[in-house]
Amino acid sequence: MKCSEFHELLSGYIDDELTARETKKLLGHLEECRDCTVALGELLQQKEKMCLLRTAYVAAEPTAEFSQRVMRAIEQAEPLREPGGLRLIFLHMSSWFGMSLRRPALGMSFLFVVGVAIGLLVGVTPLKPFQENKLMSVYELQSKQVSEEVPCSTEMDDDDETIAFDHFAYSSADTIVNTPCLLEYAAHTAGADNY
Amino acid sequence: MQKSDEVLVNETRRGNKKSFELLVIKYEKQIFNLIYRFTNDRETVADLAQDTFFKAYRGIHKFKGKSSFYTWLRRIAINNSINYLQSRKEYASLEQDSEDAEIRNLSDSRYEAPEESVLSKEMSVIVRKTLESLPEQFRSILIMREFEEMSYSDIADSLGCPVGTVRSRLFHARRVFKENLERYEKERP
Repeated sequence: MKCSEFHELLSGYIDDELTARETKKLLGHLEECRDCTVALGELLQQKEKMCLLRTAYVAAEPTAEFSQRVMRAIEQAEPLREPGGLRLIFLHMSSWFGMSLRRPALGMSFLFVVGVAIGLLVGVTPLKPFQENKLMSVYELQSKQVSEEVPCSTEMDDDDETIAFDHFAYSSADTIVNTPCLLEYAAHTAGADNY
Repeated sequence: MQKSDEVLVNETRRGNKKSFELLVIKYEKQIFNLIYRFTNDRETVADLAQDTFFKAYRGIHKFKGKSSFYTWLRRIAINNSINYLQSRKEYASLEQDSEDAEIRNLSDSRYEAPEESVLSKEMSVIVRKTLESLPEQFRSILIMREFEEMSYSDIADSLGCPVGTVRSRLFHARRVFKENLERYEKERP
C-alpha cells in the first residue's frame, strides 16, 4: 500500500472507526513511515481545533415559548390518526416498494412471494374443486388402465411408470390409502422391499 | 421520576400531546444547535426546528424504536437543514458572511466558549471561516462527525450512503479543510 492509501486509514483511525485488521496494518506502517506519522499528528491537531470550536458554535437558546409554538402548529394541523386497515397495508407496501428500489434482489423476492400468494389464492379457492374433479376423473380413467394392464406390479415400463407417478402425485390421501397399487409404487420408489 | 423517551413516544402515539411537548422541551436546545451549525443562519433556526418537531410528531408512527428517539429526530433535522441549504442554492458554495459578523457572533457573551483561553478568538474565527468555506457535502459530514459525534454508521444512515463513502468523504473533507485553514492562516494580518 502507498502512503496516500494509508492517509484515508488515518482519518478513520482518529475517529476510532477502523477494523482491528486495518488498525494493525496502519500501526505497522506508522512504525516505518515518518511522513504518515506527521500526517497523523496534523490530523489530531486539526480535530482538536474543530472540537474546541464546538462550544463556540452554538445557536441562540430556544425561547421559553418554543415548545408551545410547536404544539400550536400541531394543533392547527389535521389530527394525527394511527394507520390501520388498508392504510397500514398501503404503508407496508409502499415501504417495501421503496426498499425494492434500493435493493432489487429483495424487491424481486417480495414480488415472487406476492405472486405465489396470489397464485395460491386464485388457484386454491375457485379452481380447486374443478381441478380435483378433473384429476380424479383422470385417475379413475387411468387407474383402470393401470390395474388392467399392469395389475399392481412393480414391473412397469417407462410410460406406465409415468402414469402411475402422476396418479400418486395428484391423488388425495384417501385415494392413496384405497389404492394398493399406488402404495406399492411408493414403496418401490422408496426402495422398500418388505411392503 | 422522569419518563423515558420510549414511554413518552408510546404515549404520544396513543394521542397524548403533552408527552410530545416534553420531548420537544428535552431536545429543543440540541436541535437548535444542530440546525444552526448546518445553516449558520440564526434567523431560520427556530422555523426549521419547529418544522423538525412537527414532522417528528406527524411521523411518530413510523418510528420503529430501532435507534434512540434523538437519533431519529436528529436525522429529520439534518434532512431539513440540507433541504433548506439546497433551496437557498448555497449547496457547495462559499458562505459570504463577513469576518466582522463572525467576530460579533463570537464576541457575544452568550456564546463565550470556556476554551477561549486555549483557542484565541482570532483562531476561532479562522477555523469557523474555514469550515464554512467547504463545499456543503464536506461541511455537513464534518459537522456530523466533529460536533454531533455521530458514528460512521449513523452518518451513513442519515446521508443514505455506504459507510465506506462516509470514511472516504471525511478523509477528503479533512484534506480540503487543512488546505483552506493553511490558506486563511497565511492571509492573517
